Amino acid sequence: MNCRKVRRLLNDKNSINNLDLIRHLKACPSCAREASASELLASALHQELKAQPSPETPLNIVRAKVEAMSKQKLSRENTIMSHLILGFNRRPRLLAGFGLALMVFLFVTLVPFPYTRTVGYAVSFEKIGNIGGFAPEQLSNVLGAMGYNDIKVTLNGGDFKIAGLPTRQAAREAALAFQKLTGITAEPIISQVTQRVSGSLFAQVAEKQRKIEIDAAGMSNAEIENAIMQKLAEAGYQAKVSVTTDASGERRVSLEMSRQAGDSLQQEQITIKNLGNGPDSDKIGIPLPIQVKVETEGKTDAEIIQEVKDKLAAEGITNPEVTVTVGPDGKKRVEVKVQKEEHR
Amino acid sequence: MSKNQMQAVSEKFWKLLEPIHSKAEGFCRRLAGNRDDGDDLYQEAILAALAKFGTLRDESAFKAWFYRIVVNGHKNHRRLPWWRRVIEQIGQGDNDIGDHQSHDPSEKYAARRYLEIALSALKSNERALIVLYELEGWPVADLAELFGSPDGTIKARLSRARQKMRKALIPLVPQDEKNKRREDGYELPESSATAE
Ligand SMILES: [Zn+2]
Repeated sequence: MNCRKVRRLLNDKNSINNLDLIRHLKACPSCAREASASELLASALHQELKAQPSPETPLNIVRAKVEAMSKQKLSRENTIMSHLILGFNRRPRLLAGFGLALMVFLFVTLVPFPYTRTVGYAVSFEKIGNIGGFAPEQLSNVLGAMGYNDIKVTLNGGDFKIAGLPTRQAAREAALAFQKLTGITAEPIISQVTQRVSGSLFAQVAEKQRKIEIDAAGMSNAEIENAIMQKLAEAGYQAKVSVTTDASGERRVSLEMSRQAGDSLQQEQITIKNLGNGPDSDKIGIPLPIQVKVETEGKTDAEIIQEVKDKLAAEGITNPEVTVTVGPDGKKRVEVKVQKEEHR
Repeated sequence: MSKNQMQAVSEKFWKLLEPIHSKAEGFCRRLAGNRDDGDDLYQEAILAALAKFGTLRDESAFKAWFYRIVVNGHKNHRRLPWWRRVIEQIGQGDNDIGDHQSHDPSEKYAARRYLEIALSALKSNERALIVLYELEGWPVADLAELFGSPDGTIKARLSRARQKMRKALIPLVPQDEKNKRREDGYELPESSATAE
C-alpha cells in the first residue's frame, strides 16, 4: 500500500482496522503522524458527542426575542416601505384570440429598516477617582498584546471606560487586566454596545437573483457608482447612479432605474442610506423590482386584485393593498401599497 | 392579507419550528462555535425564515428549508478566528455549548479546542456539513437534500473536509503521544506482526 492510498483511507473513518493500513503505518512515520491526527479528530468528535448539551432556550422565549427584533425593524419611522403606482396600458386589441398579457412592474423602494444588533461590549468602572501612576495606554498595550485592537480607553471624571471589545469574554479579560494593572477591586460594569443596522424585509425576501450586492469596502464613491451600474446592467436595468458621502460620513446611494417594459419605460428612484459604522456598513444591497404578470382580459377588478395579490404572495409579499381605479385617461391603474404591520 | 391571516401564518411557522427547535438551536450553537453567537444566528435565521415563509410551498420540506436558511445565515456571519473562540470558551462556562464529562478543566477544553481548530480549517458550508453529519447524525441522503447535491458529492465533500480537519490537527500531534499511539493504538495482531 502506498502513502496516497493510506491518506485516502484515513479520510474514511471505517478503515482503521484495515490490516494493510496498519502495516503501512508501522513503517511510515509520516503517515503515522497523519493517522494520529485522525485519531485526535475522532476522539474530539467523540467527546463532543458525549458532552451534555447546554439547555435549550424555551421556544416561547426565542419567540419573544424574535418578535422584539422584528418590532424594532418595523418601527414607526420606517412605516412607509413602498408606495407605487403601476400603469396598466390598455392596448388596442390588435391580435384577435390573443389574450392581453399586461406587464405589471412593481418597483419596491428600499427604505432601510434599521434594527439593533450587538456589535461589541464595553467595560466601565464608575467613580473610581484618581488612579496614580496609571496611563490608559498601558491597558491598550496589554489588550493589544492579547489580540484586541482598536480598543478605546477613556478616563472621564473618575469614570473609567474600555470600549470596542468584540465579545463578552474580551470584556471580562479587559476588566481583569485593568484590575491587575491598577490594583482597583471595584466591580466592572459590562455592557453591550449595539448598532443600528440597515436591513430590509424585502431585501430578505428577495432571492439572490433579484438583488444585487456590492461590498463597497475600500471603494471610492465613483467606483461604487460604476459597480452598481454594471451589476444593474447585467440584470437588464439601465440606471443613473450617484453616490455621495455626507458630513457625518454616511454614504447615500441614489439611483434611478429603468427597464423597458412593453412600450413604456418604468422609472423608480431609490435612495439608500447606509447606517452605522459596523462590519456590514460597506455592504450595499439593492433589491431589483419585482415583476408580476397578470392577465386582465375579461376579468373584473376584484379578480384582478385577487390575482395580483396571489402573485405577490408567491414573491413573498404577503400584505399588499391592491386597488384598481380608472384614471381620467380611461386607463386602468393598479395601485399596490405594501404596508407594514404596526405594532404600537 | 389581513392582520388575522398574517397572525395565522406566523402561528403556523412557530408550530412547524417547535418539533425541530431544540435540534436547530443546538446546531446553530455548534455551527457558530459558542452559545451566544449560535443563539444570535438562530434568531436571525428565524427572522429571515419568517419573512420568506410565504414562499415555502411544501410544508413537509420545512426542516431542510429552515436549515438551509441557517447555513446561509452562517455563511454571511462575521467569523472570529479560532483562537479567539477558544479563549471565549475557556473559563466561560455560561457561553459554553455543553458540559464535557471530565472534571479536569484542561481535559475538558482540550477536546473542544481540537474540534474548534479542526472545524476552523473548513469553509462555512463544509463546517455545516461536518457538524450535521458527525455531530447531529444526519444521514447522507438528508444532507443531499439540504445542499441540493447528489449523495456521491456529499460523500466526497465529507471526505475532503475530514482531510482538511486532519491536516489542521497534525501540528498538534504531540511527539511522545505519537510514539505512544504507535505502540498502543496500532499494535498488530500477533500473526501479521510476525509475518512482516
Ligand atoms: Zn506513508
